[in-house]
Amino acid sequence: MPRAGRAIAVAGALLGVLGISTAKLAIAGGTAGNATAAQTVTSGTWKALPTTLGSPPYLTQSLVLTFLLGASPPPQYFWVVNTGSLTLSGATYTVGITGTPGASASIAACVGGTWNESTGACSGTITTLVTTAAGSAASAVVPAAAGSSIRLRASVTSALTIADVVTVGVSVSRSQVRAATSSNS
Amino acid sequence: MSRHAAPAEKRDRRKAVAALVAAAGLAITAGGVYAGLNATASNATAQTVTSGTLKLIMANGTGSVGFGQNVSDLAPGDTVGRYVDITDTGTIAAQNMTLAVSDATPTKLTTDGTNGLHATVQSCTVAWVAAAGTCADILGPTTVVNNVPLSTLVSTPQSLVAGAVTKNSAYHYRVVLTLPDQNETTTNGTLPANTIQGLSAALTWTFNEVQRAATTTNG
Repeated sequence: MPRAGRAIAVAGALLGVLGISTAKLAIAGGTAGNATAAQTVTSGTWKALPTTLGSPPYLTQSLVLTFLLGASPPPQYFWVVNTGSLTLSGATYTVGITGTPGASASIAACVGGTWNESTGACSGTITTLVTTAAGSAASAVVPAAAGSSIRLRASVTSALTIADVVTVGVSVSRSQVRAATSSNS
Repeated sequence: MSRHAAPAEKRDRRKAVAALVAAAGLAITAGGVYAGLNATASNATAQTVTSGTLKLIMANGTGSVGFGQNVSDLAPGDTVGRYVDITDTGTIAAQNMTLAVSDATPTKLTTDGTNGLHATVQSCTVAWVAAAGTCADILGPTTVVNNVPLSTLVSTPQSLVAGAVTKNSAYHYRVVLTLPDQNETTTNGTLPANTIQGLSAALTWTFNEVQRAATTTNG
């Protein structure tokens, strides 16, 4: 094809392409108005754990306490910490024991007071949260506020012929978290 | 071969040159005639043509913090209302206002149609009483988006106004976010798998309208 002919053909093709593009724009076009705003939304957490540590980082697992054999092994104290972001209204405690046949253990809180861990005395009211006989039990004795903690006592209730292991767990379900709220602002 | 052309060949060349010169002269003469006949006409007063505007403005509802205040630590069942006024201040008639949302960091909050966030949008003909969450219209508010998962709002904008959008008059909207009630149990501080807890959504709310249909006029 002569040079001039090729030029015309190319120009025609370009016009054709432009024509098609324009048509598409006309079909899909039109003005739109937008108004936008950003907002961050987070969901809360509800969780608690037993620990012998007084500050984080905590291990997220059951607490294992070893009681040495003897006629009257001394109790052991530990924390239950609200590591979530929401206020708790309850928790379910579990306790188990292995070792001496027939031995049992219990978890108790000093409600309205504090423990004297040297004497075992409570300045408030001793409240048993769960025993190995029950295995698990729900209680309203919890570290309510996010980040708060309560001090609990684990004790065995009989003489131990061998060293026993007491395992303590804490679980929190939705029903043990503050009630839903409705807010406007 | 001789370097000199034959006499007949020379005559042909002279004829060709003469023809070219004659053709050029005709072309120049014709162009001069055409230029001499050219004429123009123009309007004495310049014509003004302007393009229209299509604008939506979002403002916090009366007494509300709007979307500017973040929402933190939602528990299942919580509802949070925010109030915004949307006004069309453009010059082009608009239609079909919609609301959509996007999440810059998608999580279960905006991808789970059952347990993720849901939104309800209500419209009031007068300004909302934000603190109380009430609409003073004697007929009460109108629910225009009813408990739609954000996972849907992300992909499918929801209609707020079907048809013409009123100009220069605010639409008063209450946007309620809800985290549906659901149960999860955490054990020893460990969140369950695929949890709804501890998630964050970076939401962008977008109100949108489109121009009226294009017109063809003569006059």
